[in-house]
Amino acid sequence: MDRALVVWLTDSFLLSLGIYLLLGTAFSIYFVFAGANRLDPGVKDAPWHFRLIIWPGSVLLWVTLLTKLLKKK
Amino acid sequence: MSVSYRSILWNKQKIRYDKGLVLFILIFLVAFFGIHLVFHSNVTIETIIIRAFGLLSLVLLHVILTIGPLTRINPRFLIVLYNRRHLGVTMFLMALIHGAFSMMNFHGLGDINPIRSIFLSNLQYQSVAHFPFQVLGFFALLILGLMAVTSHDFWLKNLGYKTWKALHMMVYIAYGLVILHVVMGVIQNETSIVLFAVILTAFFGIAMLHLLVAVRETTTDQQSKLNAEWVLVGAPEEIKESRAKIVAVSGERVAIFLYQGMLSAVNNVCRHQGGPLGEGKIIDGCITCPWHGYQYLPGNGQSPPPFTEKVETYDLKLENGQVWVNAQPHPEGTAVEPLKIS
Ligand code: FES
Repeated sequence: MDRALVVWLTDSFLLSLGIYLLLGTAFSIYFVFAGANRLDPGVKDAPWHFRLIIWPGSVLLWVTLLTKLLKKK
Repeated sequence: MSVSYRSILWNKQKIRYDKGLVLFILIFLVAFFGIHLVFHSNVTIETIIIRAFGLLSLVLLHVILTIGPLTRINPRFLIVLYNRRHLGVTMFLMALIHGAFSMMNFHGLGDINPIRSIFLSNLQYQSVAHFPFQVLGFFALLILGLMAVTSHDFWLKNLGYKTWKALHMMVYIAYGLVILHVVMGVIQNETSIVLFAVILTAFFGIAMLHLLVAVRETTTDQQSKLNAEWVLVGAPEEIKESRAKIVAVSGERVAIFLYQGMLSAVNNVCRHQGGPLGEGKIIDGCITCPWHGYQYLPGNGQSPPPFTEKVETYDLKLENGQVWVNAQPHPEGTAVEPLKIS
């Protein structure tokens, strides 16, 4: 396969993934401490390690969660 | 069924389950390392780690994929299904160790970013025999990771059952990638035909098992006429006390429970993780899901307070000694007068 094409595809993919995860990380900080409470009242009295458990998921699924939070307004 | 979330709802059974899992992993690793050190003493420790954790996650993945269909064939397997999520997360962690060590070992030494190197160190994407199989492993790991981090009930509730289920059905895509990853890896690195044969047998085993259960369930589904207003359930004597009969009604499965001379019909899908309510029984007056014990009142499909889960309910009628269920469901949690049969 053409090396230049594979390099381009790889770099575009990894760059997009990186940006997506970076934005996700920023969002997840808000989500874990505040957003989750708004989305689901069951979170309010949950222990701190529960927030740790939902943290990686909120990095990966930030677009879905953000949409849900905006719709809730 | 908690009202406010806990990280993990520990109970005796889950603790025993997890202890068993840890014990299995320890025995597996000790045995694997022992065998390698005795019979392949020329192999480096990194290679043993990569192989051990790769094989371990592969075995766990097969267990995970067989539990579902096996419980359909024999309820004794429910014990394994009970905490399948911890099994899934563990499997992901084992695969992650395998992936991390492989990346360090094969891609960490050059001057290009190791993740980039996975994609670029071998460019024979058109070749079957020399395909860069590590790329497949990378994507499988990504999917398994997504599933592992969304396995808590919080995600099930907030993504909605359908989305969550769809997300977790991706395990089959991951499985396909894993099998290709392993088969190609084996072809490229091993001369042993035995390992190759074992993997293919496992793959066909899983496929056959799923097919078998699917065929069994579609034949039961077809037995009832679809799209009719009332669907025949059968004679009440067919149902055992505190148990249910499951029939398909306009594409949905409905469980018709018999208890104290009365019949009630609810949607068969448990709101927790989609367990088959009709395969459970009535305990303390509540339909109890066979998977993790969520409960619903037969008369209205609602979980007893303070819990909030609800399933759809259905009208029933008795005609010439035969029970019929109405194809039109009532909204989740609607009370329906039970049908008295005695
Ligand atoms: S699926 Fe978990 S209790 Fe029903």
